[in-house]
Amino acid sequence: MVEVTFRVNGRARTIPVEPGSTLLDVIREDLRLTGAKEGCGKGECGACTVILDRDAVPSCLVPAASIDGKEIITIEGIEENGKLHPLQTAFVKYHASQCGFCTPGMVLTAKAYLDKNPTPSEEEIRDIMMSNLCRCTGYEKIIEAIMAVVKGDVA
Amino acid sequence: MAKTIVLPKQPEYTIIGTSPEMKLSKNKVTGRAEYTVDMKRPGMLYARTLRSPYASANIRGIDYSKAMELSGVWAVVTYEDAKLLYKPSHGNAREYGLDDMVRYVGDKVAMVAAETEEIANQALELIEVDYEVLPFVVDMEEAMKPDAPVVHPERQELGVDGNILEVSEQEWGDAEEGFKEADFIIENRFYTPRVCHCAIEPHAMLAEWDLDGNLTMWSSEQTAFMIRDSLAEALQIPRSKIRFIVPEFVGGGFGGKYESAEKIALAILAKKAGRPVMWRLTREEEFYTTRTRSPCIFETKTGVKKDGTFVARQIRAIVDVGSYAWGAIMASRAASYMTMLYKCANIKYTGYGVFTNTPPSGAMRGFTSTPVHYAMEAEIDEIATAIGMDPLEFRLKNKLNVGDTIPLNGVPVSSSGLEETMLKGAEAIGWHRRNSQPGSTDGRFKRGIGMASYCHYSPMLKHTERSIGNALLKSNIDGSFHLLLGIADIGQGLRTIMAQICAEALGGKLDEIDVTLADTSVTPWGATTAASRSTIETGGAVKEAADEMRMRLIALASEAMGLLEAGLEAKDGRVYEIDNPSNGLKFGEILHHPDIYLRGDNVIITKATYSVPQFVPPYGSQFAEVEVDTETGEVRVIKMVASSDVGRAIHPKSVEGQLEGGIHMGIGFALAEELKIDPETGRTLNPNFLDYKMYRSGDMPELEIIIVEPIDPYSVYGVKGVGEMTVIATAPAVRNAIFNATGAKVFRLPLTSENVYAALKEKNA
Repeated sequence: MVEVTFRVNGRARTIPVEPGSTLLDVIREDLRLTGAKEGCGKGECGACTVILDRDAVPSCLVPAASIDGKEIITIEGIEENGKLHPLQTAFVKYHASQCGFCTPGMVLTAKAYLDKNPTPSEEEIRDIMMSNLCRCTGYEKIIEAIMAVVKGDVA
Repeated sequence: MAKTIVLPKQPEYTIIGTSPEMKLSKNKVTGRAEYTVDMKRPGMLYARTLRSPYASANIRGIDYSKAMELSGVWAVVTYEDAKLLYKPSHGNAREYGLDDMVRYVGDKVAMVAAETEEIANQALELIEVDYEVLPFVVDMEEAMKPDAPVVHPERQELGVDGNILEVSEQEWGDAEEGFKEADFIIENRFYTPRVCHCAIEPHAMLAEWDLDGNLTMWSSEQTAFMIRDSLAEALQIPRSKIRFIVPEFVGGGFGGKYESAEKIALAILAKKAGRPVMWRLTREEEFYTTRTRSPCIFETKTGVKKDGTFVARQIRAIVDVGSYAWGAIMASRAASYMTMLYKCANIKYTGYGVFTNTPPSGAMRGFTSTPVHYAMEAEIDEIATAIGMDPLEFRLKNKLNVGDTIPLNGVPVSSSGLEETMLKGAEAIGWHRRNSQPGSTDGRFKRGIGMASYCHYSPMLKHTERSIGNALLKSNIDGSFHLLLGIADIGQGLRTIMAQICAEALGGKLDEIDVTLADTSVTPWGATTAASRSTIETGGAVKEAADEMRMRLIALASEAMGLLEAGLEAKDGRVYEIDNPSNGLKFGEILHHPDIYLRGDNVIITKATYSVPQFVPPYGSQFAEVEVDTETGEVRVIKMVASSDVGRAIHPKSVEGQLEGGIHMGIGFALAEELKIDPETGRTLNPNFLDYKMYRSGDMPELEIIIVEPIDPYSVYGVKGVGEMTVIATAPAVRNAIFNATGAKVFRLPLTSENVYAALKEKNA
């Protein structure tokens, strides 16, 4: 049993973690933030994506013991005072969610990239989003929503 | 009783035909959406399933005493607890909650409930099973032979030997005679593979009993009622003692989330443990233990005259239903699709549903339509090319038109946007750029354009297949409403679409209609959200219940306003005088009226049960442009155009979303996806996203969606079911584009570089 201290969605937390547990386990079980999902448990689908020190990562592959001193952002942490982040607004406006299971991961992968590279091309965005699988949408409206944010069509 | 729905001449619909924000979408983008596996109940335990390492074996005994000694283990169930029949068990094959025989690698053997998943996993390893390993068969043609190992030996008790579940022989006209008139005949053999639904949310269910013998289950499903009914029968308890709830959020289904006997095992386990039990599948288990699409073989024979008229068509089909009978009607259903698209007087179909010791197979988006259209539409391009006819012209010439009789059910085509889909799609892809001679361009990289058309299923395919939708609508005194429907929303947005139909018919406001779905204690009975039926069937019930509610409100308004009903109309949440629209009352004002609410007439409940009066054919065409690298066989899809006759789009953006998503699944079926079974052991070889290739954002071609709306005269607002459309024609369109580019004929899906390269070599040999 190891104790880790980290920040999640702007708040400091200290919790004990079991050996073998992952960041996804910590988020879902200890913090009860269930927006991050287990889609495959192997880092292949992106449904568990969170932002760790500014990088989008598959949290199912991050050992819980390694998060000491790190900054984590989950889907629950990107709205501000009840106002949706532009990516969230865009996903709603452009009907980019159908079942919604891949949505938190999609939004965070896009956010992590746009925070560092605010003006990508559509090709770049399609390339970046390869880490996240969707079975419902064919990706079309997801890309449309992200590009709308890039173009400044969504506040 | 047949009904004709007459649409007003110039309808002014303000709610249907628009794309409002989807209800609950804000929950999805903020992480508030609670899916089954996100739920926690007090004292909840976690279940894991012990699975067979053998493709076929009898279980002589199970000793789980060591598992029970492990700290944190609460209960184990085996066939001794849960050998209860799961209905509908199709035909004469049996599936039980747990059985003393296993029939595929991964088949359920026992279930454990423990305080953590980790402990449950450890407990699985402590369960000792005495297997009598038996010979097995994984190839469907081998399984048909008389000396093949038998997957369901218990059928012998009913006098049935061997592995054939279903034999279907259907004929219209006389095919043998028809072929004698042919100027040209082609014969081919096609194979379509086993593919997986791959919903991003794996299966999950939660079962909880109270001490009075009432069971509540939450589960990620496409139906609440069908499962509740099966459980009630298996457990031998009244339906009122089971509350089955599909949560508001389900992470996709695609046909894979409504049948599994494991629910019975879970219910028994939860009872034995005396605590709520959460069960879920890992992704690996999703791949190798849940129902897949059925692999199929189609042996086709098609005869035409040199002017392109069909004289006869014949298919012999073998459908691999896997180890259990969920795919029971696939073999017979395939015949239907031979009769709904093109005119042909002589059609013969023979189909076999065959058991093998592989994961169970059956319903997946498009059901039989998807594999059989691959074979049928690939043939069209080949035969057209062979007689020197443009494949688009061939289809235009032969298609059924409005008023033509469909041989399957004797019903005339009620509406058809098929021609429009063909012409508009052809224009969008640039059909005129196409090489008329396949494979005639020079160079290593060859481009080609291909198309495919389809007619898919809709309720009332045959008059013997009546199915119903139910709706219940109740008023609040403030003029807002609750709509209760038994169907489930699996992500396609039914909740919003039903509310749109309700608001339009009622004359109400969309955001003052709250929708509750798929709760067996609360909503009326609902069918499975499958077969592209919900908008057309439950939507019909919603409209009727809303129409009646509108009429009741108008009657009350007539009383409150002192005006004749005939002079009143409802729109936008108020009833108004037609000749003096500013004179009106909001719904809430009517219901608050003292004379009305003191009688209790503010509580209005309307209910409708609806069956679509006639088969309403959903048509479409798809066009693909590809580039083939003739040195490697690799295929790149440059553009896909999908044009679909959707009847009428209630929520156009949602319709687009369905068509776009269907293309994704269709392209996977065409080019990349296959679940592979090892013939030596029966094991699934690629149960993960690394080795089972799903298309990702950067893999997708340019898409163009064209919606065609002929407005059917029989269905509610003229709609047709769109959920399965584009998964059907994608693979044959791609195959035909490859044929056009290179002249190579690929009979086996997926069109991987190996398969295409082999076809190129064969063509050049």
